[in-house]
Amino acid sequence: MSLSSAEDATDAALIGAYRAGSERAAAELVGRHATALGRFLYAAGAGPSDVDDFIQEAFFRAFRRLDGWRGDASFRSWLFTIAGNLLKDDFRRRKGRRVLSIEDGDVVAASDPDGDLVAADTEQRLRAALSGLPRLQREVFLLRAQQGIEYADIATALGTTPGAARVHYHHAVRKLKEICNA
Amino acid sequence: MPECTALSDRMPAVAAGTDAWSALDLDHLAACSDCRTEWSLVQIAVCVGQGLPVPRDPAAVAGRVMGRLAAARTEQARARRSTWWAAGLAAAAIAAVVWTGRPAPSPESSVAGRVVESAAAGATSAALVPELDSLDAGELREVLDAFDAPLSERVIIGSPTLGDLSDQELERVLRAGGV
Repeated sequence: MSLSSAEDATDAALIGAYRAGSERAAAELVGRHATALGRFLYAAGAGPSDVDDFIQEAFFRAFRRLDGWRGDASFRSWLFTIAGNLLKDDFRRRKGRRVLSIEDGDVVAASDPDGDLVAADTEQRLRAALSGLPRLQREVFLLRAQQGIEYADIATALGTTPGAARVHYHHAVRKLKEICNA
Repeated sequence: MPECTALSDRMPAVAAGTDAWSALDLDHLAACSDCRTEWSLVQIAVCVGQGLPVPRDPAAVAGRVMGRLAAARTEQARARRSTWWAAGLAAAAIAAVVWTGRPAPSPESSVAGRVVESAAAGATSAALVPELDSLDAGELREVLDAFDAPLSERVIIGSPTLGDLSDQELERVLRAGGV
């Protein structure tokens, strides 16, 4: 697979090329999804210094289990589900979570001179609040709100229905609002 | 409310910049505190990790993943080869049992095997073990008969010597060991 064709190819085509032996296709898939995956992992509670390792492990497992990906869910949502499992196992091993609250009006205006600091603080509190949610609610919220993945796709990746995914999202939003208003 | 659901469904796209609120949407957001709070959450979620340099080097991540996959494939191939060897040996042992009606004696533990080892130790060539596979049925029967002989007819105390062997056995050992 040539450089330009790899960049233009769909995920499914890249996976097909990788299965046929193209490492270039695999590298393109990593480059295409690694940043979003890193942000997802970080938002879901991974430590900044651990994110790279989680990304590497998630891609490694995904490529090894490609036979399990049948193309009914997008590669991205399937990959993120693998990453979610990694994070869940890590949480289980560490068994420690820190939960902070989000205060109302935390969205920062671009003109705010202290915006960066406040934004960083808000990020931390959202991450902490998310870590207090049940896993499905946390993942559905992040896949939907942060990654913009459709409910149908999320549902396929998580092995549930679009309706149930929507319910998980709204439960997550409700709980996060409660924390906001606490 | 249907309006809230419609807005909720569009929030990720608007936060990502691929959609925009209309004046009506903004009016609704101004009036509905639930939608406003949800919109704040979505905006924060979209921003989380944006300032984080992760992964530091996607190309390096790809390289490491490919390296691990290659190592895993090599390990898998080695494990598969070992399994085939073990299965082959097991099948050969079973075939020997079926063919002879009893477990084939291991060359190292048999008298003949130890004799070969002793003989080979004194020889200039490396120690060789008789290859049972190369024997024809008659020869194999003779070897097995020799093993089946009463203990009193065999010298098995200590290390056997070439003098303990019959002419036929001696000839076989000489052939196999190159003594």
